[in-house]
Order: sequence, then structure tokens, then C-alpha cells
Amino acid sequence: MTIGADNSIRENTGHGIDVAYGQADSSIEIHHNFIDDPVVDGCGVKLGSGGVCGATISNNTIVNNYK
Amino acid sequence: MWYTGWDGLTNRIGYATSSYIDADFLSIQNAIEFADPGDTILVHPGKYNEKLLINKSLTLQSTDGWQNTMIDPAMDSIVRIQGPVEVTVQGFDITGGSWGIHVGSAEKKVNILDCFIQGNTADGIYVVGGGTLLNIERNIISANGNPGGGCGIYIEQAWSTVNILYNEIGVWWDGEPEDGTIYAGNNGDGMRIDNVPAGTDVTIWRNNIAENGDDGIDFPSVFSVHGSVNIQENIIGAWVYYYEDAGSTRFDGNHGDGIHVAQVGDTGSINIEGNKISENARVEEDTGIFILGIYGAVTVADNDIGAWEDEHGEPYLGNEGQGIFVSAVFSGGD
Repeated sequence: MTIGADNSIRENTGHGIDVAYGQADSSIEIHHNFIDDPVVDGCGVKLGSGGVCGATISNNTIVNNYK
Repeated sequence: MWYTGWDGLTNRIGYATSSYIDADFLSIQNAIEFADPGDTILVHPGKYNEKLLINKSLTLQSTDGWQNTMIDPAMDSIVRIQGPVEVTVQGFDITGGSWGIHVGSAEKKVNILDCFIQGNTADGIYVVGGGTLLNIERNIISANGNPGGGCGIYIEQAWSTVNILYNEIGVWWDGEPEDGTIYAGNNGDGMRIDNVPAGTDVTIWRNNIAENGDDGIDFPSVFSVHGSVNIQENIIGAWVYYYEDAGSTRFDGNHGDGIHVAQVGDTGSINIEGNKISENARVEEDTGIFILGIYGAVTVADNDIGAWEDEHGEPYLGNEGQGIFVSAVFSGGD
């Protein structure tokens, strides 16, 4: 899964990007996005409430988040 | 070429002109039954209180557009297409039935173009059978269903190629601010597609999808995405219609997810690119984009997911819940 490039993810009330589980040998790339979700308890990018393998997060602008 | 007409009084008066026959028809259905495969039936302005069964290859087209040509049977499905046929339906206001257009089994090619499909009690367009090529273009599909559901477009079985282009799916306004009529969103999903098997293609391009009662675009089944799906340059959620002189009308987001995908199978791919996805899930508190399980390929690029401003400076809010939520990416998911 590739999220990017050039998504603008702004002012959603939950996390900007939330990936709960990534199995071994999966591919998760999150790159070159702008993420600004200024809501209490929200993360710009949240990974792994179930465990995430193989994620690459690069060159994103993540601002104004609360966690 | 056959013509079906309307005298503006109490009885339908049909007439046919061609180089080889001249005949009258009492109804559109009468003209369909008389036509040979491959004929075009042109329908003159009027209100036609009948339901139609199209079981041969033909084109059914209004002469003056949906604004002047209504099919209203007040019962059952309105336009039923059935059999191994190639059919085009173009330019009708289709209202008052259960399904607006019901596509049955084993069609070769179906085009649904330039229609206003509104106020039916079930889905606006219900495609229960599979086929080769399904084009749904430039239609307005609003206010279908009832409080129990009813999608704008519901495609249940697989087609080799599906194109859904330039449609208004959901809330729509038919006039200027002072005298227009507003048509609500559909009660269920804006569009629901159950089955995209390996080797098939679905393109969803440049539609406006707003104020539907559930998800904007829904692939709800584990069978949904095993082929190729492209969702590009749509507005899924809030948008503003600007009138030529002055004024505007604002439409809200869909009540469920902007885009909901149950599963992308190992042969499947989904490309979500260049869309505006905002103010969704304000009722159900879901997400902008929700993907439950990924075994295949997913790309999300160049979208506005949440707040953005249009060219007039109109601000749009974020989605309720996450911008993007992915429950699981499995081994091989890419």
C-alpha cells in the first residue's frame, strides 16, 4: 500500500492516517503527504494498534497534531 | 427509426417515420416490441405512465432530453433491460417506480446516459446481472430509496468493464436559488459495487457524490476488488454549486465513509487519485477512506482528504473520524 505522494489530509476529527495492522512481508509506504489534523487525541500518522511490519514513512509534513 | 409521441392530452399517440414504414404506437413499449434489433426509438416530449421491458438490442432516446420526457409507472421497476443485448437509454426523467433502471442478466453492453433518475423507492440503477460493458454517464441520480436503504447505483454482479463518469449522485438542485427544487441524496450508498473479479476494470471518474445516506462509494464485499479499480477526480462529500449570475447552493458530505473498501484481493488493485473527500461521516462517524483488508495493491495519491478550499475560497471541513483508516495489510499487500 502506498499513501503518497501529495495527499493533503487536513482537519479530520480522528487520526490523519491510521494503519492498525501490517503483516510481515507486507509493504506500507507513506511519503510526501501534508497532514494537519489539529484535533485533540488525533495523531498525524498512527501505526500498529495490532502491530505493523514493513512500514516506511518518509518526507511527509506532519504538523499541528496532538499526539 | 421509430418514433413514439405524445399528444399532450389524454392518450399517447405514437407515430413512426422511416423510409420503409409508417406506423402509430400507443406506447413506448409498443414501439419496443415492434422494433427490430439495432433500431433507434426516438421518444417525443411527454409523461409516459408505463414500465418498460427492453429485451432486444436497441437505442431508446428522447428527442428533447430528460427535462421534457418523463417515465413514471408509479409501480415496479421502470426500465427493465434483460437478455444478451446491447442497449442504450438516453435522456429520460425516470421516477416513481421501485428501481429506476433494472439491468437483468447476461447483457453484452448497456449505456445509461443523460437521465434524471429520482424518487424511486429502491435503487436508482440496480444491476443484478453481469455483462461485458456498462457505461453510466452524465446522469443525475437523486432521492432514491427509502429510510431502509436504496443506493444511487447498485452493481451486484461482475462486468468486464464498468465506467461511471460525470454523474451527479446524491443531492441535487434543479434551478436558481429562488425557485429551484432540491432533491435529497439517495438513502443508501451513493454507489455500491459488490463484485469486481480478476481481469475486470471499474473506472469512477469526475462524479459529484454528496449527501447520500451511507457511504459515498462502497465496495462492501470480500469479492469486491479482485480486479482493477480507479477512483479519480471525483468530489466525494461537500461541494458548492455556483450559479451563473450570483448565489450558490452548498451540499454536505455523505453520512458514512467517503470511500469504503472491504477487501482488496491478491489479484486486485485500487487507485484513489485526485479526489476531494470532505465532510463525510458526520452522521455515522466513520472515515474519509476506509479499507478493511489489503492483499493486493493500493495507491492513494494527490487527494484532498479533509479540509480544502475551492477556487471561490469556500472552505470545506474535514471528515468525521480518520482521514484514512486501514485495518490490515497482509503479506503480499502492496
